[in-house]
Amino acid sequence: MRKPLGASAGAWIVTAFLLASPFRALGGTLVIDFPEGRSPSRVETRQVDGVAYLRLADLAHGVGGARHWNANTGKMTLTVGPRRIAMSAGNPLVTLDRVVRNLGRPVVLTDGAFWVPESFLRHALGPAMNAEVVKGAEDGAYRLVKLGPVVTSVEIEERPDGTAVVLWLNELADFVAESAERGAIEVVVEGGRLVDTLAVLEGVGFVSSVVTAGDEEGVRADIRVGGGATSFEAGLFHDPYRIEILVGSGHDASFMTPALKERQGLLPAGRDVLGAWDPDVETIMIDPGHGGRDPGASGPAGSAEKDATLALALELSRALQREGYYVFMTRSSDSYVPLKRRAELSNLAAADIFVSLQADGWYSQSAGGFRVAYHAPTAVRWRPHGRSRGAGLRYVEGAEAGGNESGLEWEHVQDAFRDESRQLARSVHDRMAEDLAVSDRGVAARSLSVLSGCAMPAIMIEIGFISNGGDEERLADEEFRRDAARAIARGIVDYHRSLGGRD
Amino acid sequence: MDVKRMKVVVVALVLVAIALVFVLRDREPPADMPEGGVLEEEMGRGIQSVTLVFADRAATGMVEERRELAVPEDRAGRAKRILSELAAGPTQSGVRTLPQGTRVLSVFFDEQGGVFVDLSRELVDNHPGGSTGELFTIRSVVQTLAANFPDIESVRFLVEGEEVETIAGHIDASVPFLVGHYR
Repeated sequence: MRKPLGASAGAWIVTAFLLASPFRALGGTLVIDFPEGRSPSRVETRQVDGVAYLRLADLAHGVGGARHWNANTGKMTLTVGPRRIAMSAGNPLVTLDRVVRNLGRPVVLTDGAFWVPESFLRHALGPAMNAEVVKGAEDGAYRLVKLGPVVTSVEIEERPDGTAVVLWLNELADFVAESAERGAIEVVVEGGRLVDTLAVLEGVGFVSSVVTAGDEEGVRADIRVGGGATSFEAGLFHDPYRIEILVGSGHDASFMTPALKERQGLLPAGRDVLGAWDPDVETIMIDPGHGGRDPGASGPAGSAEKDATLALALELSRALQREGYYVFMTRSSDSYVPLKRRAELSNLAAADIFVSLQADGWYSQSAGGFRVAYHAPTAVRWRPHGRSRGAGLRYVEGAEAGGNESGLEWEHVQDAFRDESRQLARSVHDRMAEDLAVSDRGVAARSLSVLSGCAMPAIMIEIGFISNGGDEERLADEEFRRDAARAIARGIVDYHRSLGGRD
Repeated sequence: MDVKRMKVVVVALVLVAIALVFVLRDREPPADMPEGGVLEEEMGRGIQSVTLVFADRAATGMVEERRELAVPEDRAGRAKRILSELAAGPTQSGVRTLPQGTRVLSVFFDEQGGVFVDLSRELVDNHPGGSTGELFTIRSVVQTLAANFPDIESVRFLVEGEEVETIAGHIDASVPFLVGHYR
C-alpha cells in the first residue's frame, strides 16, 4: 500500500469539551475541561465593545496547541494538530491553512497578549479541530464536540493509469483497504460517517460497482472489480482530503497501458496499440467542464452545461483521433473532478495541448455566441521561472504558497506557455468563426483557475450560451456538435502547422 | 464709550444668532428619514451621489447608474451600503450582476488598498454560471468600488466569511482581483 502523504492518519485524535461557565458581563474566566485526565484550564475573558474576547494563550494551552509569533510580519500562528490558524492584531480576518475566515471583529493585541472574539471558536478553532461548537441554551456555555471524519461523497473516475475510486473526506482519517477475495476490495474508514447512509455507484472502467454504507463502526466501501484488473493501490491525499483506490492492470511505471488505451477506444484507428508509445504523436487532453455534483450553467429548456460539454468532448475526441492525435479526457462520465486535478491529469499524461470545453451562462437570453479564452493571471505576485513542459507536475498542498513538487507556484505554471496558448486560441477561434454560423465573441485573456496549473498550451472554449434558447438548441443538435468538433480539431491542426510540426 | 460698547454687544448678539441658526439647522433630520424618529443606525448618515456599475443586456459591456443614497460616514459602512444597492439590481437599462438574493455581509478595507467583500451563499448557489456571467459579477463589484473609492487597488471575494476557489467554476477567486485588470 502506498504511504500516506503528510501526517500519519488518525494519530491526532483529540476530544475536547469546553464545559464553560457563562460569559460574565465584564470579563472573567471560562473553564476548559479535557476528558483525557488533564487538569482543567482556565480561559480568561474580557469585554471589548460589547463582545466577549478570549485570551489566545489560554485557548492554546487548553487545546494543546503551539503558538508562534513572527515579529517581522506581526503574525501570530496557532498550530492545532496538523492545522494552522494565522492572525494579526487589528484584523478580523484569520486564515486556517491558507483559507481566509472572517471573525466579524478584529483580533486584539493588548498588554502583550492576543485576544480573539468569541466567534473565533466557531470560525477557526472548531473547524481546526473538526469539532462542532455548541452553545448551551440555558447556561450559555460552550462545548466543542469532536465530529470525526466524514465521507462526503464517493466517486469513480477513469484515469490514464487505471480506474480510481475516490472517497472524499473532511479531514484525515484512518483506513484499511484489502482484497480478501478475488475481484473484491473492501475499504473501511474507522469511526467515519457517511453523509448519506448508503451510496451505490455503477461501474466505470475496471470497477464494476461500489457500494458504500455507514454503521456504528464506520464507513465500509465494497468495490467489485473486473475487466482484467490485477492490482490496486490505496493512498490518503491532501487538499482536498481523500482516499484513492486506484485499480489497474498491473503494468507499473507507465501512466497508460496499451491495453487500457485500446479499451477506452482512445487511440487513433489503425495504430498498433501494442507497439511502443510514439513520442512524436501529439497528445490532446480534453476537459469537459463541470460534472457530477457541479452541473454548471443551465438552459431555458432545462439542459445542464455538464451534459453539453461531455457530449461535445466525445465528438471532439473522435474528430482529433481522425486527425491522428492521441486523446485523453479529464472525465468521460458524469463525475466530479476538482479544477486543480484536471490540470494535474493533463500534466501526468504529458499532454501537448489542454482544451477545456464550457457553455456560458447569463441572467437573460440576450447574450449568445462563442468565445475562446487563454489564461492571463491577475495575481499580484509573479516571479520568473523556467518552463517545465509535461513534467508531470502534481498539485501538492504547500504550507506557504500553493506549491507543487518542482517548487513552482501552481498558479504560475501556465505563465510560461502564455504566448503559445494565445496563438492556439487564435487558431481555434479563426476556424470556428469560419466554419460555424454562430455569433463570435472573439478571443479573450482571462484568469482561469483550471488552466493556471497546466504545463502546456491551454485554452478554454465557451461554445455558446446555454442560457440562450438558440444556443441551447444548437448544443443539443448532434450535427452542430460534429461541425463544432471538426472546427476545433482543424484549429488545433492549424496551430501545429504554424509551429512547423505538421505538413 | 457707550456707543462702542453697544456695538460690541450687537456684534456679539448677531454672532450668537448666526451660530444658533447653524446649530439648529444641523440638528434638523435629513429629508428622507423614516417616520417615527431617527433610528440610531441612521445617525451620521449623509446623502451622497453614488455610482453603480451593472452589465448591458447582451453581456458585452458595463452600464453606469447614479443614485442618491443615505450612506454612513465610515468607509466600510458606506461600501456595504453601496454594494447592497448593487445587489438589489438596476432600475434603468442595465442587467443585474449579482445573483438574486445575494446579501452583502460585510466589507473591510486593509491598509494596502485592498478591499475584502464578504457575500452570502446565494452568490454561488444562484449564479447563472459561465465564465462570462462570472466575469461580469467580478467586474461590476470591482468597478463599483473603484468608482466610489478611487484609492483602492484590489478586491477580494469571500463567501460567508470564507475563501472560495471560484464563484462558478472558472475565474480564479483565490487571489485578489486587481482594479487595473477589471476596468
